[in-house]
Amino acid sequence: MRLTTCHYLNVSASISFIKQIDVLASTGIELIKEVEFSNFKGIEKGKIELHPLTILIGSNNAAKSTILEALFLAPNPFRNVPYFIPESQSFPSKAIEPLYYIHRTLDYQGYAFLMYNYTSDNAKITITLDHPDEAGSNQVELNLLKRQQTIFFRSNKSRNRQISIANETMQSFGEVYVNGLSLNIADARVFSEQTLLVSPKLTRPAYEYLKREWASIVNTRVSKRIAKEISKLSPEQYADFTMEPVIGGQLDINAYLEDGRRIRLGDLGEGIQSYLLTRILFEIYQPKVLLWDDIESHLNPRMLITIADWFSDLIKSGHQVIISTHSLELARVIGGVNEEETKICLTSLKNSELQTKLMTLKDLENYKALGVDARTAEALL
Amino acid sequence: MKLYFSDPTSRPAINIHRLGRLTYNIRDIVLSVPSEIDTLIILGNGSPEDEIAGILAWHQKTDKIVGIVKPDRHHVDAFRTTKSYFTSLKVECLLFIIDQDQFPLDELFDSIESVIKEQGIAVTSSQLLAGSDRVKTYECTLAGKAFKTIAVISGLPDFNSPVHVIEDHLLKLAGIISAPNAKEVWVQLPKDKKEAIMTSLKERRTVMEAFPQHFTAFSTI
Repeated sequence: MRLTTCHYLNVSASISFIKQIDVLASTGIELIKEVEFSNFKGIEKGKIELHPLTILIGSNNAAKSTILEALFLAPNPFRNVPYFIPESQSFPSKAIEPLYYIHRTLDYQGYAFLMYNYTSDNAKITITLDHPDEAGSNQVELNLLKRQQTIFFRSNKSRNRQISIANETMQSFGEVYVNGLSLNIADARVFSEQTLLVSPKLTRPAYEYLKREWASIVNTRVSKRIAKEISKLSPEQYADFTMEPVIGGQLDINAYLEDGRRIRLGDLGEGIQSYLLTRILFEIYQPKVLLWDDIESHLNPRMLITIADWFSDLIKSGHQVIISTHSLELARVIGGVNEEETKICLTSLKNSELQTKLMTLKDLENYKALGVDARTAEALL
Repeated sequence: MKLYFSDPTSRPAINIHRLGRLTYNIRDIVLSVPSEIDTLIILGNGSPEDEIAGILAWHQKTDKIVGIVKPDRHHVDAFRTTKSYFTSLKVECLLFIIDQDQFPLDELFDSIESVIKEQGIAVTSSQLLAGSDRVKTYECTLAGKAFKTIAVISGLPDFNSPVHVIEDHLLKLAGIISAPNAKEVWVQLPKDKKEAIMTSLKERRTVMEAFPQHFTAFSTI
């Protein structure tokens, strides 16, 4: 396997954070076909099979978000991602930081939430690709080892350094802390297919990132292209998105309408904002795998079919999409437009073990005809 | 012609979007913004009527915006929605597509007229569309307001079957001209064969010849 720099990026080479990344080269269309967990967050053990488009359904606390978060971390928790969290101080954020942001509480700052029951000493995420790499391996392992107040990260793909703690010698390419937000980073390369996590909880960090990188983003003309697409979903006709001090002298991202008016991004409908942010993040980051948690939030039915069309394009061009939802309507629409590539996966936790059942749309309809709501049918597992 | 789905998550909306997989640039004719419509296409049977309606709309080189719906009611019973659509959506033209099934055409057209009248709608005149014995236009009036209802009957007389349905047209394209149950034969056709047939309808001449009554009707709205 050789190292190359950002060969997969075509629109955003000027964006500063991406220049910093070395990426392990991938060839052809490679998908993540499985992810296995051990002591990661709420999952003590279990695995899930993945497809070009996987729709995760299930009750609350059924590990859907945990699966997406693990996939977001797997390529390297210390790689740059298109988010900015002011309290973390690193710009752009490292992949692990948005996860802290999602799980932060009022008083607590730290990464204990990564470990099962907050107390496990060893956690592991293993992703399996559908093709072996040049070294003949199709697995990427990410080990999290908690010793005292430090969580050490090790991977079979990383350049580890040796660290001694107490009487033990550890191999690690980066560390985080049970209490505190500092990061020690020795290897920020991407080990496997690049993933991007989108979540309603990350809207603010995404917006903050875009504000800081706006000059680079707008010069790629991504904003203009997406404005045109968004116009198809709205009675308003958008010419572009701009960064201007429209109110109170403060810079804000604004939708620039064809008639010359400006509307602050934050004042657009939540659904439009969500779709817009996701499209821009995807365009500038160009991940292989899109992870979208709680996708149904704020989305109107018209938006669903537009997103289904977008996913069709992504899958056709070799991307993989993994989403979570509580909406069967969404599963039906997005899965219906992409029926051949879609699997719906019911997830559940039984004694902290991940249970899954893959279903087709037809299965969903059959269950519905029987009066069974597949989202809450843990008995099927 | 631009299509507007009254229910953007309905099965017809999904099926018509799926035509994009067969290289129809269907997104160019689908409107996602709220739009005023004066014409509504009502699918009396469902699928594959919806895909055919999408393809026919794709071939119409106009900017006219047309709504498309699939009500719960089927076949002639679908015409029982005439009053509801006219009064709630305020459209001026309703185009229904239904299968002929086992009924003679005259009997079917008479049944349709009766069903329209049963809703308190006056049918002031009705006539077959020039060049087609399977498209009939009913000039209607309700509460002093005039509108038009068009019935398009799917099926091919030269397809050897006791029941005529929209699948007659598709199977004929596959070289099949006889089947006791065309719907069943179509469902069991391999997926790649079905896709090849749907893709062949990108040719304007093919769709005009394969769906003559539908193409004629779509050209009038």
